[in-house]
Amino acid sequence: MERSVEELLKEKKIYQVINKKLVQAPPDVSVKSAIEVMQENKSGYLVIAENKKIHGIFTETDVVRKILGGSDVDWNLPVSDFMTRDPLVLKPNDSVEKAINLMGDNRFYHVPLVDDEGQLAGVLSVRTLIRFLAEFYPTEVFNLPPNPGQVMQSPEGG
Amino acid sequence: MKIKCPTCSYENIEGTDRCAECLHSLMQRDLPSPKSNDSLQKAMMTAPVSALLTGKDLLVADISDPIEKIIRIFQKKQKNCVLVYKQKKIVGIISNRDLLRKVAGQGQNLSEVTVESVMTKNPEVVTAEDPIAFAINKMGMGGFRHVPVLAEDGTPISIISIHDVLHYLSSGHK
Repeated sequence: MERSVEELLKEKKIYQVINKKLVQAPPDVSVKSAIEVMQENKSGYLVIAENKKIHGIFTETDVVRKILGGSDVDWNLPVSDFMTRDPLVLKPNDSVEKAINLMGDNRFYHVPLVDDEGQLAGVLSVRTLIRFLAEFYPTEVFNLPPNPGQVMQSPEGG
Repeated sequence: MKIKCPTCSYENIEGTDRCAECLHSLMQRDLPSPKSNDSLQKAMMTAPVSALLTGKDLLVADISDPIEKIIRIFQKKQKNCVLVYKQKKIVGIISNRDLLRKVAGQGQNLSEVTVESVMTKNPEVVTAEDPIAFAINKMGMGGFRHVPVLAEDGTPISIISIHDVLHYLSSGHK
């Protein structure tokens, strides 16, 4: 029997959907280099960690809310002064459903992943989740017409 | 533009009556229907975008506004996204992502940088009647975390975020 989407979301594990990319830096890097690393990697986050131990997460929201526009911010200060400390984490073995609940409820864009020993093991982005959901319906969702009300009356050019 | 056969995935010419490969009908007049016993799938495919609307988070900027003003409002009101309109037409969108990529650390005088030079031009949009799956598709394919919801005449109704979708799927549809 075919399983429902809900059941599939419970079965599917985070490690099965994430991409391997992880952008990280140690807590003592300057705000200036942290932002450069994010820009170079086109990432909206930077996991702040040392020896696989997570100290915090520094995100584009932190950049906009705490850094930009303020002339009094010293860009040479360490990123740890501005990061969000001890962020919530998930495990690679947690279900996609759990990730959807956590990220939807807390409005996170990125959640660091830790293994059973508490060591940094990756990162899950909200876009990975939504892409996963979109791929759930490869045929159905992709075939939605540009305007759902639209019905083709004749073949193209016919 | 090709249309993929929902049964065999063969790419047919758009508008054809049936799949040239497997003869499956391509004349469905309605959206594909979800399986009756699958509440989540049903929520995604039949519930309209309007089910997600909160009426909050609808900021509109002008192309000539200084980016400094946008940053100040984002900071003060804890916002993440603003639509850009020109003569009642949407021409762009700015989110924290644009600010990080194009403004942070560039050494510019932020009162002289305009919204127009920072915005992502011509964003994908949805209407309030579109199914949520349609918004998920746009977000997933384009990598967008915010999608404007517009009325038929192009006036803004809301901005939905990827979190609104996830939150709805995790709790709202039950």
